[in-house]
Amino acid sequence: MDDIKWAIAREIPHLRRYARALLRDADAADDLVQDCLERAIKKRHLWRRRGSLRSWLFRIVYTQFLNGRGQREKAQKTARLDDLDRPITLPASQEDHAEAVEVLDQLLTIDEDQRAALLLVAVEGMAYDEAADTLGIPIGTLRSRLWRGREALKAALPGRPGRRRPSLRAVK
Amino acid sequence: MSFDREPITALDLMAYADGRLDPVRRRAVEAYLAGHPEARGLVETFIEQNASLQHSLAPIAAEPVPDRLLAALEGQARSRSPLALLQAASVLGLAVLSGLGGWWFGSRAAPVATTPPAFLAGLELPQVGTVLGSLAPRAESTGEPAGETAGPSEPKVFERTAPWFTDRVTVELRAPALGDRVASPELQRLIEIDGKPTVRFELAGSEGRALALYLQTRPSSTAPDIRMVETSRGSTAYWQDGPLVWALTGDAAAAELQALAEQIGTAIELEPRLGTVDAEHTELEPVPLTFAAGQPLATR
Repeated sequence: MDDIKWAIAREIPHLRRYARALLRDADAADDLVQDCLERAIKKRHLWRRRGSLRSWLFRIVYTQFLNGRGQREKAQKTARLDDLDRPITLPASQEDHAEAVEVLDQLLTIDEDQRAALLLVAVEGMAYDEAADTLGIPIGTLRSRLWRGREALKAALPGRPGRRRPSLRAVK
Repeated sequence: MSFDREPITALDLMAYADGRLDPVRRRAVEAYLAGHPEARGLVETFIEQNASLQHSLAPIAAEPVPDRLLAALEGQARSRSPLALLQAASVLGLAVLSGLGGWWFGSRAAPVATTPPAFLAGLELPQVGTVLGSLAPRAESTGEPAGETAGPSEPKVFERTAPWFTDRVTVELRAPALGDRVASPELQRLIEIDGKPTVRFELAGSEGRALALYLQTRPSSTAPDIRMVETSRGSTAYWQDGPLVWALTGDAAAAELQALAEQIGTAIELEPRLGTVDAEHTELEPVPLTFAAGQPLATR
């Protein structure tokens, strides 16, 4: 495996996470990532080692995501992230799992563009300029989307204490 | 004390929570937060959001990667595509890449990589006018009628370039990094076995046992295993020959590319050279391996 393939392979778990949080459906998300990988391999000569490979890959995923937006809206796919109900490799406690489902359900209620921005910064740890470049928007627009996304998420997840949920919490 | 007099905005608070403020601005925000508990609460909410999202989505990134995604990485989806027939057969693009990966003892028995070499993605089609224009004067210089200029499928074109190749394609053999296992330099010999120069390299085995590593060159003799691949710019024939990977691409039908690739691959003779054995068989000349492309060995 050459260097760039190796570097791309390292990003696959992150791309899958991003795609799934965008698309809700695990299979559709992997389809999106597969499209991205095929395109990246085919077009890798276009990545001239200017900028980050990660940004380039996420940009492909996001572009593919946008390209399929019309089709998705037509299909009216409203499935939840039911895949999180399946056992996952990390040994998450039942409580953690329930919290994860709750957070993600709320995440999916916010606008797609805001969610795309929020995920890049909050989950993937991108700097604002890198996230803006990935999404192809000015950095001011990115900040605006982040802010509105956070406000929407704050409304959806009110009164969350602490970073990791302590032992006492409501059971859905 | 903060030297930053700009008023703190909500976006500053968000950037602070995301850890995206420069040190000066961060210090100004921290000073502001000390006197504004409501702003501190907002920052804590943002930090909590980040933590919740990271925590909730972490399991997805920890899942095993599906095989189909790894297959996509290997370009297998594209390999199912039939070979496309391109248009006029007019030009020839030729690229060569040298590398020593997997090539040792001149072995040609090593399996040909099923994954197309990465450099195929960087191949460029030559310009039709440029290539044809450059071929015509050469044909005249060899006394051939201009109207019968050797076409791209004629080996004569390539043979004329062989000296040029010979001057540029040199494969340097680097000694394996064996650390303490390498015995003293005095125990390295260039000897002769069956009339052929051979390197003998003594190594230290366990418990003081002596091991010997031998290296002989082996000229190529078998026909290359030509493989075809479709790139975004058309068909490409590629093959591996010892330490070299060749690729032939151009605006030509795939069948023509394959036929020409076989012709070139057969015409090329790899003749690695170890050096000369002196009368006492004790001196190893530091001669890099040089490959002659259809030409007698060149001393470098």
